[in-house]
Amino acid sequence: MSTVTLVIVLGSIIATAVFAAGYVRGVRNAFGEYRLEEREPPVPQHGHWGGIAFALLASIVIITAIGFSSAWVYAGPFLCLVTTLGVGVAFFIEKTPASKV
Amino acid sequence: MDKTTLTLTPGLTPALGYSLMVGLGLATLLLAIVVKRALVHNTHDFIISNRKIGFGFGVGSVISVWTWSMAVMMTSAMTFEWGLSGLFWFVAPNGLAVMLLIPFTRVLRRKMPNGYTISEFTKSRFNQSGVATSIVTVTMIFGIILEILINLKGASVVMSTVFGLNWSYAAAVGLVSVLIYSYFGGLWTSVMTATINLLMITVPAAIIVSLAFDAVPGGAPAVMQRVGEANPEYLSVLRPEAAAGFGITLAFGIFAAAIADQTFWQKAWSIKAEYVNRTFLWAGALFYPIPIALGVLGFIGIAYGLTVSDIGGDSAAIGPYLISHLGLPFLVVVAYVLMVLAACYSTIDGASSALSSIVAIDIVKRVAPSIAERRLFVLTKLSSLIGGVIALAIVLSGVDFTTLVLTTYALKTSILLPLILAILWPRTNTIGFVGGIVLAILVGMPIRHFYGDLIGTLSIVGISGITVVVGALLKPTRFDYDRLHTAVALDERADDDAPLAAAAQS
Repeated sequence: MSTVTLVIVLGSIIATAVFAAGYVRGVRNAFGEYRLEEREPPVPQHGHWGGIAFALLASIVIITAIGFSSAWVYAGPFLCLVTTLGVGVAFFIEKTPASKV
Repeated sequence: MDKTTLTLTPGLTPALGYSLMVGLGLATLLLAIVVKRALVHNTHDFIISNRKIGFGFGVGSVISVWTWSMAVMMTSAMTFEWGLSGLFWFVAPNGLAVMLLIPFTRVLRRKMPNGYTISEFTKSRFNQSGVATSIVTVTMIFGIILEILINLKGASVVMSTVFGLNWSYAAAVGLVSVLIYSYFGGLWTSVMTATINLLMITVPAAIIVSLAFDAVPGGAPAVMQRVGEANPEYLSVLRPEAAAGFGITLAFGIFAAAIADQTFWQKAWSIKAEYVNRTFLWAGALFYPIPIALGVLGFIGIAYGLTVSDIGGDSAAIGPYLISHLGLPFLVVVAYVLMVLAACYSTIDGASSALSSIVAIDIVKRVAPSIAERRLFVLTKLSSLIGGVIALAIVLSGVDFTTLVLTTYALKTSILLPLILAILWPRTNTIGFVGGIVLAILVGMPIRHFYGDLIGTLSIVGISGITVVVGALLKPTRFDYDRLHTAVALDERADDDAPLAAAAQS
């Protein structure tokens, strides 16, 4: 197993732990909020265009970079861990039923 | 790197293949039963999750349903065929399509807070027009059935390549495994299981791809050197023939697939209002790494000098072929198979859930507006099985589903611009909307037949858009989007019928 793979495996463990903790929190939120009557907040009407442009450009840069250096082959695997981590973090960003009361 | 050194990992028996398919379905069924008991008590819960899906489940489930099993393999196949240009044209529009839904979800969720389906929007938007609503409903249903078929094909390719299973049996077993659990919990089950499935995709993808490069003598540097020697253009994202050959057409197809997919609209109306836009932004952005990671497997195929005939005649098999022939440990191959199955199951489950919302709102409630909640709930649950049963029948009959692919393509591409304009441009009227779709199919499809995909697709999109504009000029009207607020929420009825709903759940 190469060093890169070893780092990816260790990163996977951390990302999975964050994901799992977030998932449990998400399930608790869902069960806690069931039938909780609340006024629906307004839908945000602002931007997101900067984020969209950044994500698209980042993906293009990474794909292009693979053609210049073989090290970029590992960018995808590392970013998959960012996806795992990102979803886990998303659970922690959402408000809990208790924090709304 | 000699392709004759590639041999199948031992121990990959057909019995193991079937066990993995059934086992994943049963494990998910357990979660579905728990979810159903806690969160699903009426039709409103079943099809829209009481509009309480949070940010985490929103992001996880949107990424998961958009990660089709075929896409997991096609990204490697595109790289294998076209090099980096193939990867670029496959990946870039895919994430963008999800993020570009934000302007539409923003309008629909604010103006039609009680909505369920995009067909229901069409009905309110075009003054109860039966024709406009029916076209959109049929498009959504065709799209869902095709979505199920394509994902079954993806699962079948991997199961036949790795375990040597008969592809139609594999499709049937996979489909039954999904339908059993998707019947129970509706959308809540779908988002919770899809989010777990996402974990089964991202983490294995990261490790497996890295291990695959480790398994090649010389690792990634040697692979990329061989790829450059085979054809320097494989290392460029700027091959014009890739753009003209499939890239631009695929990009339109992907945008059309996202816009004309009730799976996304159902999510748009079920995720909590404050998170809906951010969910689609995060989902699109966080989706990108998956096809990028798996796509680079195609380079290993190029480096070994493999041809399509070496891997069974279908370039989609390049990923499963490499993973099962590079000498990777048995468990790594199993993890790859489970990853493809997770992608397949989550997408089919999401599609079934979307279909149940269409049947409940656009068919049953349209035909029988005063139907009792208990009956509606039973019909809605049963309807989640319909798409799967139809897809299963098509698969087992052995018929070529080219006609279904072409019909769905025609409907989805034709509806793309008219639907966008209907949501964003108040001057879009019924004549322009219906005329645009019909003319695009009648004129655009023959053009596509004679002049190919690129010119055909551009013609279909152009004709549909121009017709909407001409329709607006011929009969000037301005739609008041506040009228969409009149859409009735099922939960108001559901509360009245709570005892009936409780009886139905038992």
